[in-house]
Amino acid sequence: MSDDAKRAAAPDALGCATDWLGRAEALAAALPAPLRFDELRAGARGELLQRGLPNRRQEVWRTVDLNGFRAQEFAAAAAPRPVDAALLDGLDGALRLVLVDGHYVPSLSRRTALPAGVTVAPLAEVAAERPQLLAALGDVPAWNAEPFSALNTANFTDGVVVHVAAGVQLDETIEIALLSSEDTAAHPRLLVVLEAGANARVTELQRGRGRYFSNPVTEIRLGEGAQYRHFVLQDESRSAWQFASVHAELAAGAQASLHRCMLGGLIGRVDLTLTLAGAGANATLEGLALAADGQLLDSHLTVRHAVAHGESRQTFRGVLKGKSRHVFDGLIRVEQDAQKTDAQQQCRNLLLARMAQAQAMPRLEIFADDVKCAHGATVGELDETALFYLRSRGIGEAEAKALLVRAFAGEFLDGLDDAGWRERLEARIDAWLEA
Amino acid sequence: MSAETESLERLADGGYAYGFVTDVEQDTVPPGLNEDVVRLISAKKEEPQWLLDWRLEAFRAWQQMPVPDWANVHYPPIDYQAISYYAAPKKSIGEGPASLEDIDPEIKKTYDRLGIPLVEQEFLAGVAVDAVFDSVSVATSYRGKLAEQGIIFCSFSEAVREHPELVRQYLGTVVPTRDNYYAALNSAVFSDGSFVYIPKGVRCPMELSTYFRINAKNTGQFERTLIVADAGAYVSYLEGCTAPMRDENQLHAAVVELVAMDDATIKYSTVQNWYPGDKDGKGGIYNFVTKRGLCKGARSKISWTQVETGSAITWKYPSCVLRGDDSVGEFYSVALTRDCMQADTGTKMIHMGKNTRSTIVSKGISAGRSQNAYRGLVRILPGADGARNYSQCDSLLMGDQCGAHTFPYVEVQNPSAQVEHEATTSKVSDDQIFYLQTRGISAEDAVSLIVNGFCKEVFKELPMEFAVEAQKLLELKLEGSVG
Amino acid sequence: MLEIKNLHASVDGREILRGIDLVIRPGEVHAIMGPNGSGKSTLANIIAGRPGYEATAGEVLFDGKSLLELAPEERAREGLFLAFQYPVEIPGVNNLYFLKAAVNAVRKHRGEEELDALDFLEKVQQRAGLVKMDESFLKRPVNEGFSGGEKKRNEILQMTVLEPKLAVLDETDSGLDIDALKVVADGVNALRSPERAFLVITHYQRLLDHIVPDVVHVMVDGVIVRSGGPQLALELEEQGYSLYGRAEGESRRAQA
Repeated sequence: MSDDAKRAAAPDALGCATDWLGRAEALAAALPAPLRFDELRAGARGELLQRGLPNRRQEVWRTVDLNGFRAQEFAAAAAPRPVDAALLDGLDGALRLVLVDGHYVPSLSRRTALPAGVTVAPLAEVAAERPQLLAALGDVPAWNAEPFSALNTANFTDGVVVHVAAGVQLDETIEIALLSSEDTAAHPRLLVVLEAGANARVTELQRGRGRYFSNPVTEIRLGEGAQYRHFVLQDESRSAWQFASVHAELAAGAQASLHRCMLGGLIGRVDLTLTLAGAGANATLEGLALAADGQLLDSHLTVRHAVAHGESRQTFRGVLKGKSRHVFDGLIRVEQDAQKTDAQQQCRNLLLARMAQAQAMPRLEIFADDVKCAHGATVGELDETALFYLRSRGIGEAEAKALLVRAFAGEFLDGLDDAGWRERLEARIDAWLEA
Repeated sequence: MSAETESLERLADGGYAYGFVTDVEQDTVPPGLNEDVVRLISAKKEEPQWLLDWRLEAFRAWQQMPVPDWANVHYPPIDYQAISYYAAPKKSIGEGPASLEDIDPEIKKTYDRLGIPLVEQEFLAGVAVDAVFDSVSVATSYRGKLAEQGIIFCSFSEAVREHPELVRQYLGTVVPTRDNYYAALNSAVFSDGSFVYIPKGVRCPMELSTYFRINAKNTGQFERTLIVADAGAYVSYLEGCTAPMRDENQLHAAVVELVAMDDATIKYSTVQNWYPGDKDGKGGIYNFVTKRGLCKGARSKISWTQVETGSAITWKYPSCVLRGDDSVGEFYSVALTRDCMQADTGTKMIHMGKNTRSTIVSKGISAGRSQNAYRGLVRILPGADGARNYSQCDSLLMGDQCGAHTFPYVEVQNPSAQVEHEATTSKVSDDQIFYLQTRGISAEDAVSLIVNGFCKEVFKELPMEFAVEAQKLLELKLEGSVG
Repeated sequence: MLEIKNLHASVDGREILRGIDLVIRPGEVHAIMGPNGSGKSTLANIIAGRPGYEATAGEVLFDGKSLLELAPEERAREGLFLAFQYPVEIPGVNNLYFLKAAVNAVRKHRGEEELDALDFLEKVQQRAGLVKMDESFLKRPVNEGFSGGEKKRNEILQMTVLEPKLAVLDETDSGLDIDALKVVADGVNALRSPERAFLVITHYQRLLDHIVPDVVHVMVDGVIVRSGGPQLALELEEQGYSLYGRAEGESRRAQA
């Protein structure tokens, strides 16, 4: 049966008010040749058609109720709409690529001369001019388990490509902003390829206004000994849906340090899969979720140690107020050949309100015997004794609480090497506590 | 059998010394499962109508339920029509459990060989035993002495006849018929098991124990245990299990329900040594068990201790529902898997009452090509102010062909709760073994020393005699695992 | 400065203090001695306003103001300081940052200007030298990973930086070796002035060799049974608390 025939039998194949598949097919026909990726997109549509969007009977989706999302209609923005320049607050470097509603916006972006061997450019531009740099695009093993990755693949029209040739170090921080306007659906695509010994860092800002759907996918490929830092501030609107995916693969000796601070979204979910594919690779995943009334922040991490001598650290923290929910589902999988793996996983939650709810599922699957693996999860409220101690020194109750929350979040901030963002986030935490 | 032959046999069996078959005349229902079989089991046990209705309801529910597939275990689909749901030694039919003198000498010999004397005042003096042989209870010792204090300790079938009001009051209140696939199946076809009632304020003067033995071929064992500790009562209960070595897999789907009222304490210990199959994973028991305790009253306490060393597949999660304020739940577990064994075991601690506390200590040891998973849920509900949980799950790997997995689920809906989970994975290191060897200890002894050290926190929770047994059992199971 | 009248207090519904009367004037050093469980630490915690410690009768006046009405931080801003018996570890909160926040909270309350970072650092460094505390401790989280002695030094450092009107030292000497004990005593003696008062709570006389008190009180079972000059501490050292109907070092409540 053809795709068309199947859809005729079930007009809303994914059970959504927005006709995602129909839109994807129309898009596939309309895209300029370099952006078509026919096989890739057809594969993604096939996956979606066959598996549909997830439901709560699936273990990794049992934390999210997607019914609200299914009922939403989102427009496909054919061109970027004007946005409030304030959404770019904090991005003041010389190298800045801004996407609005999934489209690159030159007027908001800044391009600077880059060292030889470095490409930082919109995906559509790279596809047209240097398609060979996109060889790794969509080279994701088991994405069928991640329907929102497939949804992006079927629908992306632009994104950002970062490509750093072997041995090249890029000192300038690459700033990327993914902005959304009201009622839209955006599927921006990021591809980061660092060849052997290359070094780069990205700061990514996700923001928008009103109700919309943000569906970014980031693919990261690090060559031998490459070093990469990526800081994401998920600062979407509180009425937005975000389903983000990150797929990273590290060759021998590569180091990745991925930081993610999550503040926004009615539902803000990330599915992150990272594979240590070469010996001696090292990954640090740090997360901080600040969940306020009505929000669900949902992080699903899989760190796979495929070979020996890998090291990984996952540390996620949640601070919850109001009727909010934070889910941390982290898996460390150590394959049989991955001897001498050193993997750790921590999830700590601080509940500031009666109705707040924290769920932690730090999981270990270990098939090698000579490994050091540990994980832990804690949930609790502010330490009353510490609070009293601070107050007995003259510090007011509200400030003492803020101090303790900031201290709780502090290790996340300490991991950021950008002092400007550290300060901005500290201020955000204070403002968040007072709001 | 001489001690020497016995130990030789042990070597040949890969450490399983309980794999013999007892030759007794059996009354066995032909394989297959339908409503008539359920009615037949109920009729054989001369059950009242309400219990038959209860079974039928469970059976109908079971037919609608999907087979659970979330556990980290793999096995071919079970053909439920190929299993016989009832097997009993002929001589015991009719008059209920025999008095100790009337037991078939073959069966008595069986239990002697298993080290479980059905004669009072012998080796395990001070332990009352209910012996379940396939589908029926064949003997219960020390009943008279216990009855003096109003304690009821008898087979489940007898409880249905003699104390229907108690059974009806509590049956299915902790594990409802529709709770899960195997619980529903058990509710439909359960044959026998133990029943315990400790009256108000009574401290049970001896350990109560049930010894489960699967003997017949192609049968499943579906026993049901119900223990009720009334206000202020205390009881310590132990179960042990073995089965003959057979090439086919056999199904064991038991349900255990515990109810603790105000200030009552129930301590439930298990030493599970069902036949695990041979070195290549042929045969062995599928141990799919639902165990749950309800801390119904304030300050009640339920403590599960399990030493799981057998079964081809273990799928069990002894759990506590902490409903009473200040109630306490505990779970201490050692699970050892070797060869091709698979274990997915852990606990659930559901905190409902205020200031409820739970402790989880799980020690998994994987050897050979086995897979060993801890799966546990700690849920703090909104009303559970001041709830506390501490979980520790440690895994020890022996060899590079096995797997150790930890799947904790932590769900907290009350800010005043404190929940802590810690887990580590380690191996028995060559350095440790070498260090002990330089002090004159053999490599095998060194391993068992290290493993016993690893399990110490759990063994200390077992009644003393059984702690020694468990330790020996573990040593036996570890033989040949070094290398 | 501090005036306690007929103070009764309980913890978890159990009455611990059963009518305390105590007056401390500016410039004075008072010592309270008593067996374990006599209520000494309860008194310190009641003065500081620890949650869970409830005054059931009587009053505590600090410069004429009723302390019991005030939140712990308000008491601190009024010039009260408690050196904790068991200082709590606060992971992630930088010691220096914490001190600065405290100093400025007190200064603001007094209508003084907040100290800028440099002046503050200079002051803290000078005081840290006084209590022989390595500066690296300032950069670490509050008390985290500190030894028992280091924690107590950190308490004294805070005291010398915050310059309170009244400092209550709750068994600050327990578990200290003689060098650390001297550091504590030097810190207190350096702060002694006609405007400032101290209440030193201790089980042993040895701290009082170094901090000579003006008045010594003996507390047993929640009441002050005797008050006198420094010689009283020496008497107690020789005779123990048996004079007061108690076995050495034990109170009736502790035995129960």
